[in-house]
Amino acid sequence: MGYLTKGLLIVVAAALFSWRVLSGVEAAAATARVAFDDGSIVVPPNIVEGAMREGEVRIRGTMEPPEWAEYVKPFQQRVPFVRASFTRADGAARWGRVVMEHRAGKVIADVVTGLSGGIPQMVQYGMLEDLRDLPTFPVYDQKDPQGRWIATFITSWGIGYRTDRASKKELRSWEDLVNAKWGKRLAIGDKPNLTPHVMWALWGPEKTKNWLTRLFAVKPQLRKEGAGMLVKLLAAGEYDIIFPVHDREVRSAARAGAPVAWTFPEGPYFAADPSDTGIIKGSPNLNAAKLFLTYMTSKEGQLLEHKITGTVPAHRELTNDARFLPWPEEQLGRKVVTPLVLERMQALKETTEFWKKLMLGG
Amino acid sequence: MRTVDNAANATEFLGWRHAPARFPFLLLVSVGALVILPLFFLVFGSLSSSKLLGEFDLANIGMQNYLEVYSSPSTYRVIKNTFVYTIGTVALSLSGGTALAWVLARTDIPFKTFFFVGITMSTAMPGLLQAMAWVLLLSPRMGYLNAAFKAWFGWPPYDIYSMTSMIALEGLRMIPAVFLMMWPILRHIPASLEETARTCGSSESAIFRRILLPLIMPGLLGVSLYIMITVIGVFDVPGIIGLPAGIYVFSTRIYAEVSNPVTANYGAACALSMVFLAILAIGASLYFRIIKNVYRFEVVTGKGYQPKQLLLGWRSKLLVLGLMGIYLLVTIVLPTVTLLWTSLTLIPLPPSWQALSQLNLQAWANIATYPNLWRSILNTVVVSVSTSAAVIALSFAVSYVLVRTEFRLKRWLDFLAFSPHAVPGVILGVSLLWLSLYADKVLPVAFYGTVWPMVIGFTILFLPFGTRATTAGLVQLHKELEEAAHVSGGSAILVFRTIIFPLLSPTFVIVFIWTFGHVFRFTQLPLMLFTGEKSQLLAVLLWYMWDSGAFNMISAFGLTLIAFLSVLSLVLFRLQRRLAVAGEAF
Repeated sequence: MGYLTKGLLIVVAAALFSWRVLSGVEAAAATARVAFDDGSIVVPPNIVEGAMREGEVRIRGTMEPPEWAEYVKPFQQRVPFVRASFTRADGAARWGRVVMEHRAGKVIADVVTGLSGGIPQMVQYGMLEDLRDLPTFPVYDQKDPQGRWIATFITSWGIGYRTDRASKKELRSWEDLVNAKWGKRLAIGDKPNLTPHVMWALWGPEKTKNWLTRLFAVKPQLRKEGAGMLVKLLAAGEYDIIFPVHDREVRSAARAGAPVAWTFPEGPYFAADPSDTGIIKGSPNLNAAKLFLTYMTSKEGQLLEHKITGTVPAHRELTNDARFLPWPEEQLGRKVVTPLVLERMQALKETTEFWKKLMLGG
Repeated sequence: MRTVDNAANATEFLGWRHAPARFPFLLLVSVGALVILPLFFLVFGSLSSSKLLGEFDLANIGMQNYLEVYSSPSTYRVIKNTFVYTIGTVALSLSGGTALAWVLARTDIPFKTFFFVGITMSTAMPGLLQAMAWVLLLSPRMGYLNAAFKAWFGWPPYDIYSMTSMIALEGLRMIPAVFLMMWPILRHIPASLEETARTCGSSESAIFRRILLPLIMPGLLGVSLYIMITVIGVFDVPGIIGLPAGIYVFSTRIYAEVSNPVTANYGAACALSMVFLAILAIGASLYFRIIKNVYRFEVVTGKGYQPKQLLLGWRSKLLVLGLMGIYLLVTIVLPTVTLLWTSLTLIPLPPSWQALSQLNLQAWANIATYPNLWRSILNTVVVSVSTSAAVIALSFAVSYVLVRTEFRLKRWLDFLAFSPHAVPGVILGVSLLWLSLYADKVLPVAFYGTVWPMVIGFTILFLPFGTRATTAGLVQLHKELEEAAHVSGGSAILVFRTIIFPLLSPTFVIVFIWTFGHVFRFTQLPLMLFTGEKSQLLAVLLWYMWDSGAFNMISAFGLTLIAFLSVLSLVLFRLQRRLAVAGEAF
C-alpha cells in the first residue's frame, strides 16, 4: 500500500472520528432538555440520557407507513439521537408475536400499540413495563392504574353503510342488523375483539351468542381483511353494510367523496375502544421507548395523529372535544356504557372462541 | 486412460481426498436436517398442549390437538373442499396446459415464440394481484365486468366468490407450469412411431390412444401429482376468493387457526397439518415413482431428431389461435389493464366517462418515496440472491452425488431433496418460526428477527425444483469430459470452472430465474417470519397494502414488480440461450 493511500485512509478515519465526536457533542447538548407541548411537558433528564445511550426505539403499530413517516418527523427533529423504526402489523404479528417472542426470551419490539386483545396474556406473563413515570401519565383517564398500558387514541366501532343503498332508519337497532333481507349485502369483518366482545361483557353470554348466531344466519359476506380495506370495499360497493367498522376510516372515505356513513344503533353507546399502548418488559431501549411514548401522549403528538389519521385523541383535554369526533351527530350526547377493562378481557376469549366457530361454519 | 471411480470422483471434486465416502453421507445428513428438522418441530407441535410455540414442554404432551381438530365437523368440510378444489384445478390446468403444449410442440401453428413468451410471462404476476384483479372484475357487486355486462346486456352478475371461480382461477394460474413441464415431453416424442402407424392405416384417434397417450402418460401423471401438491399449499386465491364466501381449504384453515392472536392455537394448526402432510407425502412418493418410470421411455428418443409437425388447416389454425388469444387475454391482458386502471383511482371505480375525470397519478408519484420500500427491496434482494445461490449450490451437490456416484443411499437423498415440495409455505412458516425462536438460545449470533430464517425456508421450499433442473442438466453431460480433464492433471476446481460451470450455466440461470422470481412473489413464509423492518420483504409490504385497502398503491407496486420481473426474466433467458449456445460449441 502506497504512502498516498495510507495518508488518505488516515484522513478519512480522522474525519469520521471528528464527525462522530461532534455528533456526540451535539447529542449531549440535547440531553439538557427534551420537551413537548411548548415546553409544558419536560422529559426527565435520566430518560433522555438513557435514550441517548440506547439510540433506537422499535415500534409495532397500526398506522400506514406513509402516515407514520409524517407522524414521526417532529419527534426525529426534536430527538435526533434516537432512531425510531416502525413496523405496521396486524394483531397476529403486532402483539401475538410479541407474546410468543417474550416467552422465548426475546424482545424484538419496544413499543406496541393497539394491545387491547393481548392485555390478558401480557398481564399474565408480566411483560409490560410500568409507565407511571411518564410525564403525561396523569393527564390520561383511559389507562391501567398500575401503569401497564395507556390509551393513545380512542376508536369507535359501529356500523358502516352506503347512503345510496341503505339508510340509517334501517339500522336503528341491533335487531335491524340480523334481518335476513341483507344476505350478501351485509358483510361481517372478522373482528370479534371489537364491538362483539364488549357486547358479551355488557349483554352477557346468552344474549350475545343468540344475537351473533342470528347475525351469521343472515349468510353475510365474511371478510378477513383489515379495517382500512373493509371501508374501501364498502366505498367501492362490494357490500352495502359492514359491521364492525371504525368511525374514522368511514369519515375519511366520506370526505373523499364516497357515499358512506357510520352509525351506532339506538340505546347505550358502547362503541368507544381505547387503543392501548405499552412498553415490553426487558426492552433494551426502555428509555427511548418512554421518550417516544411521551411524544405519543403529548398534546402535540395527539393532535398530529388526529390530523394525519383521524383518530380521536385520548388526552384528557382533547378527548371530549366535538372537533375531534368523526361522527359527532352519532357520538355526542349519548349515554355511554363502558365495561371495565378486566370484564372486557374476560369476555374477549369466550367471544373469540364462539366467533371462530361461527366463522368456520360450526 | 485412467479410470476414475465415481464415488471418489465426487469426493475428489470437492477436495475430500482423504474421506472418500464422507461427502455424500454428509450431504445426506445436511439435506435431511434441513428438511426434517422443521417437520420434527411440526410433529412435536401437534402433540404439545401449549398454545404458544415458545412454551413447548415435554410435560405438556398429549393428543388434545388431534381430538380438537378431528372432532370438529368443519375439519371434514375443509378436507372435502380441498379435495374438490385440488381435483378441479388439476383437471383444468392439466387439460389446458397439455393442449397448449401439444399445439406449440406438435403443430405448425404460427406465432409460436409470441405464445411461448406470453404463457411464461403470465407467471410473473403474483397470485395475490391476479386474485385481486379478478375480484375487481367479477365481484357480484363492484366488479367492472359485471357492471358492464349488466349495463349492456342486462345479465345477472356472476359471483366470483365460489368454488367454481377458485378452481377456474387457480386452474388458469397453473396452466403455465403444466405447459412448461409437458412441452419438452411432447416435443421429444419421435414422430417415426406415429408415421409408422399412419403407414399401417391407423386413424388419428387410434394413434393418440395407442401411441401418444402411453408415451406421455408417466409424464402426465407426474405433472398431475406435482400440480396437486402445489395446489394444496397455495394461499392467495383461496384466501381472497374463498374466504368471503366462507369456503375454507387447507391453507386458509391453517391460516385461520393462527391468524387471530386471541385464539391462535399453533398446536391445532400443526395437528391439522399432519393429515395433509401424510397425503402430500404419499403424493410425493407416488410422483417420485412415476418420474423414475419416465426415464424408461427415453430409450425411444432419437438424438438431434426434430419431431414432425402436424399441419393444421386454416380453420383449425384460426380456432386454435383464437383460443390461445382468449387465454392470454384472460390471464395477462385483463388483469394487467385492471391493475393499471385501479392504480389511477383512489377507490376502485368501474371504467366510465365520469370515472375518467377522477383518475390521478398519486399512487405512481408515491411509489419511490413509500416508507420502508427501499429497505424491503434490499431485504428481498438479499433473500432472493442468497436463496438462489444456496439452492444452486445445494442442488448441484445433490445432483452430482445422484448422477456421478454410486452412493448407496442416493435414493434417500433424492427423496429428501424432493420432499419439501410436499410442505406448504404456511406449515413451513410455523415450524421455522418455532425453530428460529429456539435457535437463538443456542446460536452465538441473532437468528430470529433476521432475514436468514427466510433464506433457509425458501431454500428448503425451492430445493426440489433446483435438484430436478440440475439433475436433468448433469445427466446430459457426459462424464468423459471430466475424466479427461482429471487425467490431464486438472484440479477439481479447474474442472468445475472450465468444464462443468460453462456447460451447466444455462441450467443455473434457469434455477436462478425461478428462485429469484418466486421469492419476490411468495407471501406466506415472509408473513409468518417477519418481525420488523430488518426482516420485512416486499411481499409483506404488498400484503399490508392489500390489508389496508390501498388498492391504487398495490396496483402500482404490483405492475412495477411484474415489469421488473418480466424484464429480468427476459434478460436472463437471453443470457441463458447464449450460454446454451456457447455450451453446445464447447
